Amino acid sequence: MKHLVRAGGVLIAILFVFFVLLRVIPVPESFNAYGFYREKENTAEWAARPMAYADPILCNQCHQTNHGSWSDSKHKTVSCENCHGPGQSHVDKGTPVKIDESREACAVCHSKLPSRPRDFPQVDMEQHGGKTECKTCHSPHAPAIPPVVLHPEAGYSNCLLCHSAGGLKPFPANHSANSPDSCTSCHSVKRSV
Amino acid sequence: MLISRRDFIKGGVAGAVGGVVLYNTSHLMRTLAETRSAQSLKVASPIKGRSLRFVVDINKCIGCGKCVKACKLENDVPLEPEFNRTWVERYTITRSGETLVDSPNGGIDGFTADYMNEKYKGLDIRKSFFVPKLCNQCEKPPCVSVCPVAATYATEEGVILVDRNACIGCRYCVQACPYGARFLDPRYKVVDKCTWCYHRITKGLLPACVEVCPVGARMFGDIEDPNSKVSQVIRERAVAVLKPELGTEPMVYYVGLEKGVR
Repeated sequence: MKHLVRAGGVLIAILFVFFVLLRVIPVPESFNAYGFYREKENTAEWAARPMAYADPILCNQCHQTNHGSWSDSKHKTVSCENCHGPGQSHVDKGTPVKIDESREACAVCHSKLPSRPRDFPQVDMEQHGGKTECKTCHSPHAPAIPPVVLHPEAGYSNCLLCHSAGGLKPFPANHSANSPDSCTSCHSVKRSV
Repeated sequence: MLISRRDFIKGGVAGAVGGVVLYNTSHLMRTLAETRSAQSLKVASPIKGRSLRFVVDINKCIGCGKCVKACKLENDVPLEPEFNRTWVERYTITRSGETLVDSPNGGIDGFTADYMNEKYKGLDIRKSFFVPKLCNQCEKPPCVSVCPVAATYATEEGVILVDRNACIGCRYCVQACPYGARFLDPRYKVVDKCTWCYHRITKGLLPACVEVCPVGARMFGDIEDPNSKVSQVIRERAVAVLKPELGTEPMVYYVGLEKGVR
């Protein structure tokens, strides 16, 4: 008789282990909950996904200068990460952000297309600016039309880069008689910030 | 040793009582486990009820495709052009009444490259516009109805999610979605779709596509909040949904939706 009781006890213990304790492992926590199977767990999993694009208010905490000029400009509707790319890893680990400064990067929004709203500022990229990078004249953080060109302080030879006869903004015809040496003797150069 | 009738009955009763106790222990443990994990499972969602709306203003969209790019980077969507949670279509209606629709690479690189515009050169265009598309998070979602394993469901906010562990990749939902918003992820062989960036909106942030939209053509928010952008736009502008005749009751509204856009 005793061994039967013992066997029964062992059986109950085994059943307990298999059906009660081990059951916890495969059965999701929301098993008895109303609704879809594993709905709570799966919803929590989706909610816990890592972000690539950071919370936009974080940018201003370090980059106040650029943020300041941007927040007053026409580009204030363009978020930082639109041009600079996803920034969460930059916030977490300081990974440098890469930025595409090519003409094509600006053209994605500003080249002329018949499908774009008419009041959106667009240019014919082939007619405008040659091969010069847009940021040479247009500040990406504070754009204006016509652009406020912040001139670099390098000598007169650079004046001709843009202001020669075939350049972006040629000097008036009556200047051509003058020697290029004399640009800065009449024109003061705005310093770059 | 033979067991007596009395002992046999005694044993039987003890077994039955033991079984009931066993069953209840399991239930008790489950209840305990649920109470313990209730906190961890609860998504700290700032939204109550199904009041979220996504508004797309077609009149503002410039077709830069930044939303498509942001979506792919934010949500780990395969970069191949055939897999998109959101994409931008270009509609062009010529003066002769012909309608051309294209979406090169889902619009991820914009619409400015020469090869994208070759067939439009010299065309007499009457009107042309961009239509960004995404999951409409329907109030009555056909994709949820057809799933044979109940792997897709609406959260309490009304966002349709896919349980990647339960999905068997049969693609019924891909067929059932009238908006083409679902695709089979080639890496995991499960269906993927727009979640309205569920991991962002539950933290009070905007979906990535809304975040990067440079012209505010994509708007997202709570319709019950009178100060939210979406409730203002829905109040002040005429809005429409895609394919209303299907009765799916989308939660994505469009401003400036042209007849014929599907």
